[in-house]
Amino acid sequence: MNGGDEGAFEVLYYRHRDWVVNLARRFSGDADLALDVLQETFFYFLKKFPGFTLTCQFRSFLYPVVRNLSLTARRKAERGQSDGAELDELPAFASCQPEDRESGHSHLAEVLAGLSEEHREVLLLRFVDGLRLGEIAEAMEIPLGTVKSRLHNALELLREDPRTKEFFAP
Amino acid sequence: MNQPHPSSENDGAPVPEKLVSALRHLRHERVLVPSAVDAAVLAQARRRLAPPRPKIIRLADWWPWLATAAAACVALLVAVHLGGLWTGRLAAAREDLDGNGRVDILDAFALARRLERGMPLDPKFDLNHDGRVDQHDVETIVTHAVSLDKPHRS
Repeated sequence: MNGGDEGAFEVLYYRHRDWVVNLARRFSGDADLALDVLQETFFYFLKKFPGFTLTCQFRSFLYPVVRNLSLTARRKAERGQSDGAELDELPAFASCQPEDRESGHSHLAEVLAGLSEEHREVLLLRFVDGLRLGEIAEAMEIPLGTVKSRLHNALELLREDPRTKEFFAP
Repeated sequence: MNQPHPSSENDGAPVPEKLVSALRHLRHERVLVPSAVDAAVLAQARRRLAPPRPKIIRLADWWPWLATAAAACVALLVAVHLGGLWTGRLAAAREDLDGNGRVDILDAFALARRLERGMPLDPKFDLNHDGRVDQHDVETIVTHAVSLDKPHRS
C-alpha cells in the first residue's frame, strides 16, 4: 500500500470489514454508530500512508482504534439523547431467539453480560474473534500474563455460575 | 463427550468445545454493511493512495524569481554603463585644464596660451602621450570637447 496499491487495501478492507463493524457494534451498542466507526477506522488507517509499516497483526492494530472510536461515538450519542435513555449495555447479547433459550445460550448471554468488560472482552476476542493470546495482548496493550489471567478468571466465573456450568460438564 | 477446545501452544488451560461453540453461536445482531459505505471507504483509499500528480510549473510560481533575475540584469547593465561613463569622465577630467568641470574650447585656449607664452608646461598636459606638450595636445582637447558636447550623427 505504500506503493499506492489500492487493490491491496481493498483486499484488506473486505477481509476485516465485518469483524471491525461487529466489534464496533459490541462497543457502541448501535448499528448505525458501528457503520460510522467502520468508516472512521479505515480512514484513520489510510491517513498513515505513505510511510506506514505494520509491526503487529492487523486486528491487533485495529482493535484499540475501533474500541476508542466506538466508545467516543457512544458517549457523543448518549449526550445527544434527548430523553436521557442510554444505549443498550450489551445489545450484542441481549436478544436471544427461542431456540437459544432452549439450548441454554440465553443463560450464557446473561452471564457474559454480568462479567466485567475486561474479562468479557478477553473471552470474546479469544473465542469469537479468534485472536491468539499474544494478539490480544497487543490489541489491548496489556501484558500477556494479564491476558492469561483475565481469560482464566472469566472461564472460572462461567464454570462456577450455575447457569453456565453445564458447558464444563464432561 | 465434551472435548477440550484445541488450544494453541500459548493458550494455557483447555476450554470445553461446547462452550466455544456456544460463544460463537450466540445470536447477536450482525451489522450488514451497505454498499454505499464500502464505496465511500474505497473512494477515500483511491484518493489517498493514488500516485502524486506531476507538478505543473506555473508562471505565477516563478514570477518573483524571474522578476528578481531581471532586476539584477538591469542593475548590472546600469552599473556597466555608469562605469563606462565614469571612466570617460576620468579621462575627460585630464582635459579640463581650467577645472570648471567641463572639457570645452576654453581648456584648449588655456593650453594654447601657455604654449604661446612659453609658460612652464606640466607633463600631465601631454594628452596625446607623444612625450611632448605641444599644439597636438591642444587639438586633442578640441577633439574631446566636440565629442562630449555634440551628439553622434549617423
